[in-house]
Amino acid sequence: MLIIDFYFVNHFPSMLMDSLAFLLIGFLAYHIYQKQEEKPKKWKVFIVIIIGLFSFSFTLPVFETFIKISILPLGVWILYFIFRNKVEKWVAYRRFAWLGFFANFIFLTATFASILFHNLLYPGSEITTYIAETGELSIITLHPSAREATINQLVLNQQIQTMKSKRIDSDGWYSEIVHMEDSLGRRVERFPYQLAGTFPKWGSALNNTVYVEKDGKGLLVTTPEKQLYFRSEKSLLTVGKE
Amino acid sequence: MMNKKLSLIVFSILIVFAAVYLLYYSKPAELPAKDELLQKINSTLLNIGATKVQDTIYVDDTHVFVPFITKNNKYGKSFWTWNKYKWEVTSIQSGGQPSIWKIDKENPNSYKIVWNIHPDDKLDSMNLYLMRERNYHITGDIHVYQPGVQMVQKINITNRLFGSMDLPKNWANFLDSILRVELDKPFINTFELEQAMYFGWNNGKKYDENTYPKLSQNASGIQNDDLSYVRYMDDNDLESQ
Repeated sequence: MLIIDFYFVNHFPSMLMDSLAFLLIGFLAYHIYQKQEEKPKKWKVFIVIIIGLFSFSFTLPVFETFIKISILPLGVWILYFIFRNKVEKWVAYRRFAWLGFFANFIFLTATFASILFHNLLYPGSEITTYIAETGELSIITLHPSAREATINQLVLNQQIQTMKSKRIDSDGWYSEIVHMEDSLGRRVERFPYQLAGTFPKWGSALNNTVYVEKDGKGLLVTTPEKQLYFRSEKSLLTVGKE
Repeated sequence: MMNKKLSLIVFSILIVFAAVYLLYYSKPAELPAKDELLQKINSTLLNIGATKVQDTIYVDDTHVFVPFITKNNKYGKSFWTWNKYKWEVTSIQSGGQPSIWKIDKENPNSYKIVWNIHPDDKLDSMNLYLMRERNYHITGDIHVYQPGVQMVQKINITNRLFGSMDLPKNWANFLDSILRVELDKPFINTFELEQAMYFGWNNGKKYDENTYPKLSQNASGIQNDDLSYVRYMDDNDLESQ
């Protein structure tokens, strides 16, 4: 509800926009300082801006992140109270205090811009956002119903551009596994492998886990917010003999 | 006068830095002698009656696993950490069933498997499992499917009834991947993660009362959150071998 609580996100668009916001605030402070007749101490200006940032605010979850909307200039009030008996000094600092409060909205704008920028750079429904680079790939077998397998990197590179997004039929898959056992009465996991060693697009910070379907043609991508499912034409795996 | 004040301030700041450095970054002192370890174990967990320290196993510079035997012929485990300039015992258990020691909770590559199996349980190997229940949830038309996980690692314990080892590389990599995703969630709930993934163990045989390792399994004690409980898996807990 209160004070300074920014949600710093570590992806590239956010860092870029926040840096721009800092530059803009610095520029505005410089501009005010130049125009003003009374020259206050610089380090005090800095502290006044920081205190000016304090505000009563509310936080909203928007687009899978948080934004902070400031309503009441708490910091400006505090400063006003401190300077209540030094009116001539307050005149020198007043603009900087309000700049501090206004900075909240500069950061808010930066957040919106970074969300927009993030969506443009890293489309959330495309597999190449999540599997953009491949390091040393390996297949980790997660369930005993699956045979040992290795990833076919050539096929993966070739298929990844054309893989199609499909509907996740979570309850259907679940009940199929639980109700239909193989000839030996064993449960067969639909996604028994993890594809390890992939990286999301540079700067996106979209950590994810990639599961591979038992036929080698499906990838189930789990991100912090959602899950996506893609199918390829050919199997991405070379499966060992039983 | 001013100079005196200033030097006093500088001096105090240096002292504080030195103290903080010693507290958090100092090279660990040597682990106390075995009888001191026993004393500490017995004063931390009353009635345990530890009588013999079997070994001191350094899993790294600042973490030592100390298996011990009690006067009631129990084989226990104690976990020692160099913290704030002293050796502390963080967890003690009276049974030797495997535990997962999370040296750094957010880095599965640091997790260790430790055990002190009772000789009368007559085990020559054990199976360790990494498990997750198969699950799904639907909110509106948004589906999430959580694949079931059952990974197994056989550990030969014929000449090492007590010991410690790293998690299998595959396990650590998989856990690391899902932990990264979990930590990036806007609302982190590590409890949910703990519930979802768990560790298990058994003797690798069909469940049978006669071969069940009851002497190792029967543990009580104090357990810090740096230890992950490893539950005994019977046939119903496993999907297929």
